[in-house]
Amino acid sequence: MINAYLPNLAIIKKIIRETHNTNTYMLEFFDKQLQTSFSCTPGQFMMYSVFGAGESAISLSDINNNDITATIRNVGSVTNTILNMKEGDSIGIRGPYGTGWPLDKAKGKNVLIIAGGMGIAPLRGAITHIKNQRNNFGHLEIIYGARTPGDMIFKYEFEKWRQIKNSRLDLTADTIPANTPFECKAGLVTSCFPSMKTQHKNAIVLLCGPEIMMRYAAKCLETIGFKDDQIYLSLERRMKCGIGKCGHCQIGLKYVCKDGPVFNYTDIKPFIHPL
Amino acid sequence: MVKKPKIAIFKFTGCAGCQLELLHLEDIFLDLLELFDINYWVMVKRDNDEKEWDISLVEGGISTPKEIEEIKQIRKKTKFLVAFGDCAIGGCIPSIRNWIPQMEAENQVYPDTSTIHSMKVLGIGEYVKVDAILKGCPPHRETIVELLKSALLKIRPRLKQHPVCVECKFRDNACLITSKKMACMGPVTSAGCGAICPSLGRECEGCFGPMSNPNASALASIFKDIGFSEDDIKRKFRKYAGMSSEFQKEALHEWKK
Amino acid sequence: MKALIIEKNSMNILLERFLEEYRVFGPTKPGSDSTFDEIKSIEQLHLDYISTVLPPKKFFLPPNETLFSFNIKNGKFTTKEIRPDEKILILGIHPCDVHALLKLDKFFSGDFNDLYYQNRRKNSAIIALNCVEPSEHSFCRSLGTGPFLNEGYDILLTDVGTNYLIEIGTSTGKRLVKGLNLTNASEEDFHEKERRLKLMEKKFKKSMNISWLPKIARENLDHDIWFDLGERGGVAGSFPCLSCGSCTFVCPTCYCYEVYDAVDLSLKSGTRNRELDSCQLLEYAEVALGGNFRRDRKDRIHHWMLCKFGAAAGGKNSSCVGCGRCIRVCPSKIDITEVAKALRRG
Repeated sequence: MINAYLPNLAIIKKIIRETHNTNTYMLEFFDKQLQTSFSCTPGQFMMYSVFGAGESAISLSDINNNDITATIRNVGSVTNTILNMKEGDSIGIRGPYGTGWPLDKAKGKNVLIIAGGMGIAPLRGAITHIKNQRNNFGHLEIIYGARTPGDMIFKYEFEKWRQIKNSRLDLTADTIPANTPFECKAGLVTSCFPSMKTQHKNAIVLLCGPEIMMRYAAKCLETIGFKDDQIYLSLERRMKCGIGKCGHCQIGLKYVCKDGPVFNYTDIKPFIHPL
Repeated sequence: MVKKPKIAIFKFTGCAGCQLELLHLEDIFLDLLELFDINYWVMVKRDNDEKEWDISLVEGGISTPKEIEEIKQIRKKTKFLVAFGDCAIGGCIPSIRNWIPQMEAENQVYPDTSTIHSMKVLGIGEYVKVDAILKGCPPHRETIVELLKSALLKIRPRLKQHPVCVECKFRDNACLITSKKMACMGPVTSAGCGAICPSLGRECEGCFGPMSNPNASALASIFKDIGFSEDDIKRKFRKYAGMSSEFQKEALHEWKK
Repeated sequence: MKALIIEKNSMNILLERFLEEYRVFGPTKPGSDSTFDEIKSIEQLHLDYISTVLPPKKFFLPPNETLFSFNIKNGKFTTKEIRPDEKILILGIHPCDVHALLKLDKFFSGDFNDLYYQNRRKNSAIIALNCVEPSEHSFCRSLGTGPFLNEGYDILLTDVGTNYLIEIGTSTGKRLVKGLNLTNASEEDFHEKERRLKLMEKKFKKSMNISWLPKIARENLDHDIWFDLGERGGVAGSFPCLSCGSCTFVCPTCYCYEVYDAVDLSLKSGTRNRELDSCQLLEYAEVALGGNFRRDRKDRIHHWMLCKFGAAAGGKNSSCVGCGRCIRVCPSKIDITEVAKALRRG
C-alpha cells in the first residue's frame, strides 16, 4: 500500500520571477511514470517538502503542459528555502489534493473571477481552462486587486487575458506609483463592482484572496443580487497532512484540505468570522 | 568550504547557568565547533575576538547603566542577537528585587552602598532589538541546538510556545493540580523542559516563563480555590517572570478584581 | 464460540501465554490515575484500575513518532520509510477505550490510509475488560460505549467474583487460549455477568443526552456559554479555560497531530516526525505571517466541544466515548456533560 505521507522527488525545471519575493516554479517528477500519469484540476493544491524545513500546502498556479506549476511567496521557513533554490534543484512533492473550482457547474454561465493578492494563483488555472474551452462558458470577467501594482503576479498574462473573446479584466491596487506600466485603478476590489459587467443572473463567482477581502466581496455581491450559492471561494488554513488526518484545517464540519479548499459560500458562511 | 558563522557569548546580571548549560553540550560540542567558530566566550576562552559576530547569545538581565552601554555595543556588532535564557528575556529571578525599593534592596546586600550603581533589572529587549529568545532558566540543551541549527538553515526554529501540560501529558503524568492539589504553574508556563518537575512529582515553578497567550488570572483563581493564600500566589507569578506583561496582573496582585 | 473461566489468581497462565507472542501492556496502578505500561510479570498488572491518565491511543497514535528519514547526498534527496511492525497486546482495556479505537480505525482509513496507525493496529491484540466499577466522571452508558462491551475485542474478560469470564471475539483470541486447559463457563457465570451489568448501570453519576446533540451544538454557535467557558468561567462551577490542552491529550478520540522535520548536526540527514497537537493551543490554527483562524480562547474550547459532540469535521469518528478523562484532568473543572446540558437548555 502507498504511504500517503511520503513525498515524491521533483526537479525544478524553470523559475519565473514574479515580484521581489514571489517566484513561479515549473516542476517535474523524477519518476517519469508519475509525471505522465499526473493530472489535476484548477484550484487543487500540492504539499511541498523542503527536507529540514518541513512541508507547506501551495496551490497549483496553472494547468498547462505536462508540468506542475506553483507560485510561491516568501512567508515562512519552507517558502523562504524554496525561494533560495535554483533551476535543477530538487524538492519533495505529493498530491494533488482537494477539490478544484466547480468548472462543470460553471458551464454555460457567465464567470466572475475576483482575486486579491496571491489569490490569483489558484485561479489562473481556471482562467486557462475557460480560455481553452471558450465556447463552453459565457462572459468572463476578471477583477484582480493587490496592495501595489508591483505586488501583482502573472503581469505577463494580463495582455493575453484581455484578448480572450467576450471578456473583461479590471486591475486595482491600494496605492499606485507614478511609473506603473499598465492600466490599474486605485482602490479595493469592491471598488470595481460598480463598473462590473457581470449580472447575478446566470452567473457564477470564483473568489480567492485574504479572508477579510473575500467576506467583503461576498457581502457586496449580495447587495447587488448575487445569491450565496452562486459564490465559490478558496480558503487558506494551516495544513500538516493534506489528506484530512491532522485536523488543523477544520472549518465547521469540513476539512479544507479534503472537502475544500474550494467551498460553496453557503456551506462555510456560518463558520468564517462575521464582519 | 563555506565560512563558519562566528558566535559570541556574553553575560550580564544572571548566574552563568545558561552558559554552563551550553558547556554541558559536551557530547556534541566538537560537532558544533565544526559548524561554528566561537569567537568570544570569556568563561571558557583565553583569547577573545571583539570584532563582529554573526550570532550573539546574551545571558543575564541589564541592571546598571554600564550594562546598558555594553549591550548597545554588542547589538551594533551583532547580526543575530539572542536573548539567552529568562534573565535576558525579562530579568528572571534577579528581577524579584524590583518589587521593593532600590535602596532597600541594596542595603540588604551590601554593607557599603556608596560604590553600587544599580537599577531595576530588566531584559535586554528593553534597550536593544532582540532577534530571537531562548526561554528557560536555563534553556534546555535541545532548544539551544535547535536554535543554532535553524540559524544555519535559515529557517524558523521549532521552539515550543505551548504549555508544560502538553509535555507533561505526553509523559503520562496525572495532573498535580487536580490529583494532588498542588500549585503547579504548568498551565501558564512555556514548554521546552520536557516536564521534568511534574514527572518527578514536583509542581512546575514556571522557569520557562509565560507560554503564548496564558490565562494567568484563571490559574490564580484556581490556586486560591485549592487553598493557597494570595501572597503565595503573588510570589509564584513573581518568581521567574514577574516583569512580563502576561503575568503582570497576577504579580501585582490585581487578578482578584 | 464457547466461553471459558479463569480464576483471578491464575491470571499468570494467560499472561505467560500472551508473552510468548506479544509485548504486553496493561494498567500498572490501581485507581483513577493508572497508566498503561509494559507488563512482564503478573505482579505489575492492576486489573482493578478505574481509569488511566493517557488512553491506549498512545500505542497506536504515539505522542511522538518518526514517519520517515531523509538524506541529502550530492544535492539529491532520498527518503527511507519507517514502518512499525512490533506485535503488541493491550491487556485490560475498558469498553470506552475499545470503542475509541474503533472510531480511530474508521478515521485513519478511507480515501487515504494512515499506514502507521493501521500497521500498529494490525499487529495488535485487544484483551478487553468489562467495567464493574465506574469512575466518578464517566458516562459511557449514555453513549452506548460501555460499561460492557460487545464488539472490537479479541478476548473479553468480565469480573464474575473469584473468576474472570473469558469470551472469545476473534480467531486470534481463540488461538491465544487454545491448549490452556481452562474450565468452560457455565450458565451461572453468564447470569452473574448480567447481574453485574445491571448493578453497574445504577452506579453512574454522570450522563450526557446525545440525541440531536450535534445539531443543537451547531445551532448554538453564538451561545453565551462559549464566552463563559473561555473567559468568564462559571459553567457549573468552572473556572475559565486555561487552554492547556490536557483534555485533548487524554481524550481517546482526539487525533490531531503536527508534522515537523528534525535535522541532525551534519545538516545532511534527519527525520520527519509527527507529534500530537491540540486545538486548544494558540499555534494550532496559525498560518504564515501570523494569521490565526482560532485566536480567541472561546473559539478554541468551542471547537473542541463541537468535535466531541460529533459536530466537527471528524464527525462520529472523533466524538466522545464518555470515558470522563477530560473532566478529571481539567484544572478549571470544565465538565463536558454540563456543557451539553446547558446547550440543551438553550
